Amino acid sequence: MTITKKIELEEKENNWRSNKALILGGFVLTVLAILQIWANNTLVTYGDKFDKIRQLEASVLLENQVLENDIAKLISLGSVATASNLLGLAEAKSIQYLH
Amino acid sequence: MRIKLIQLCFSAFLIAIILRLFYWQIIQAQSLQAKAEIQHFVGSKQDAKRGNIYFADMSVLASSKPVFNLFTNPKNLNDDQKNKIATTLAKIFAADDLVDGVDTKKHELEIKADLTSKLSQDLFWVNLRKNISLNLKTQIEGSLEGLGYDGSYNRFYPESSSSAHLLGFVGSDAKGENTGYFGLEGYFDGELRGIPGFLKNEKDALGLPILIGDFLGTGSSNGKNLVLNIDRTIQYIVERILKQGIEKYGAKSASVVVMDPKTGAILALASFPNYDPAQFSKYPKEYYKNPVVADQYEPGSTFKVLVMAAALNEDVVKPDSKCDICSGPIPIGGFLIRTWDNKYYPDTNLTDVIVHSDNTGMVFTGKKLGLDKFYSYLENFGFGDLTNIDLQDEATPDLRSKNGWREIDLATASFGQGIAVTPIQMVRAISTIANGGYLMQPQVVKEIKDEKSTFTIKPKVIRQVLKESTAKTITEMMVQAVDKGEARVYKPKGFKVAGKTGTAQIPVAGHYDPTKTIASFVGFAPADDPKFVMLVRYDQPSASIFGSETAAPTFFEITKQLFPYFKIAPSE
Repeated sequence: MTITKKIELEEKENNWRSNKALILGGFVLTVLAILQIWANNTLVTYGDKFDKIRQLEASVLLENQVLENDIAKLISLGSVATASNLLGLAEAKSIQYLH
Repeated sequence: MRIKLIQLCFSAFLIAIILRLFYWQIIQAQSLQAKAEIQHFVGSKQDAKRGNIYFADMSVLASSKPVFNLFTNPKNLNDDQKNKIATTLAKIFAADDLVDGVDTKKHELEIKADLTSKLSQDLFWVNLRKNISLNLKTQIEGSLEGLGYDGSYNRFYPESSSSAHLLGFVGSDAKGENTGYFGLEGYFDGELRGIPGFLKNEKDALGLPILIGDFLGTGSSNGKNLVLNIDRTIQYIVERILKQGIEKYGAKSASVVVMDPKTGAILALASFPNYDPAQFSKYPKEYYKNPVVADQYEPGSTFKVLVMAAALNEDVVKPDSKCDICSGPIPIGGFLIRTWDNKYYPDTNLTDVIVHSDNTGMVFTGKKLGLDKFYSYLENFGFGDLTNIDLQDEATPDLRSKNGWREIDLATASFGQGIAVTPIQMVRAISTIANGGYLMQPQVVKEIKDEKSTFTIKPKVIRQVLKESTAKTITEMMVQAVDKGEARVYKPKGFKVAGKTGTAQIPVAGHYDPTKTIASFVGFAPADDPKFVMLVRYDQPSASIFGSETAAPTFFEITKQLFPYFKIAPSE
């Protein structure tokens, strides 16, 4: 009789252990699934941001190049000479040297 | 029995799955993998930006301008959309093309008709306009949808057509790739064009990049930048005065080259007629060639100082040596050698031979030197050889073999006729007098820069041609030639300038045409410590055929501007 009870107890304990393992496994799987969904969402969001930043970088570089070109055009000697003439500046005709 | 049947079905199903998997994973693996890669890897060509070209003060001479090709897919557009695109774009383009004297409304209608015709084509891709600017693209993006933009770069020249012959231009090669032609763009095309990259990026179903995905390929490497020895102020002065000169003297073409005699650095180089490198295709192809390095001409009397320098260096004559054959025309080989003005100076000394630009005195000097030594100096001064200037289109006339020289050839070559040189060879040879006797390699580029490093090009001495004492002596003779010669009236007072005029008749169909000349002036200043050597050359000036009345005034006009720029005060 004692032996039978012991066996029942062991069976119960084994069932509990396997249930525990199943619950744990299920929990881990759920956590992993949630983690993956979160990671996917996050990565897609960041991918989108990353793409936008890359596009922004490219457009900023282009604008920078255009601005550099505008500056180069404005400081070209041809432009400076025209602007100087408009301001009434004239070429020195006879330079006097101090000895 | 049923269970067995179900087991059999399952087994068959399992085998089918295994076989199918085997087919996909083993047999079709490679092709499926390739298909998958095409779907989730997006490849893009990364264009390399062409390197910039800078003046010595780092101001921009050539850079890149972002431009876009505007395109659309007409099959995706309905009639209303097509009409809206044509109307809006016509308005924007007409405003952008705004030119004085052009009827804007008419121009707008023409553009609209052209766009409507393009949009009515039954095609998947239609280019609506090439090379639109970033501003225009932004404007269009804000007002229209259904259009695409292909980005690229065009060359941009803030100084417009300045330095065109130096720069060359960028055109398309047979593959449609941007390629440099002529000048610096051609010579340094490999350095300037950079290396395009190709990037493969793993993307998700929405086309967004997967951050933990694979990135394959290599990024582009932009072209290297060039920093020139060209001084933009000198270049500007030279171009402005030369342009005035070619109009004033009615010359067919004109060139100026300014060089630092101590380093060989080219400080300015200009030729007219020139072209706009941004619109090179609108100009005749003959304009593309840089006359300073590619044109050959007979130097005339400017050559006399080199022959005299050779004779002085060999100690066969002295500045005060008397010419005992200068009392009249000299008969040689059936020809009669005369002076340019038919004036003769019996027993003249050799300084006066240079001052008067006396052909008979030079025949005397040439005879004293002899063909062997004369020829050897021609080679030592670098004639017949490329100067190896860093410009693509350099050419050199061949030096006739020594065996083919007759007595008359030596006589005429001693005063610069019957021998061909290029302007850059001539300036380099005169520099040997200015710098104490050293033949330098002319160099346009000072530095080649990339994002990480700078390569500096050092001055290169080819060889010593003259003794320092000879250089000083011939310099003094050239100073006398300026002070007492035909061009003395143009010389700025108080400055010591060494120079020599030249008027060479142009050989036409086996004889010299007396009405067609190359008028030139070569010199350097200040004579005691030269900061620059300059050659001015007019081809067939109509106002006067003489160098002393055309090239010399231009030389001194430029010199007057260069003295204050170099902070050189008068010494006399």
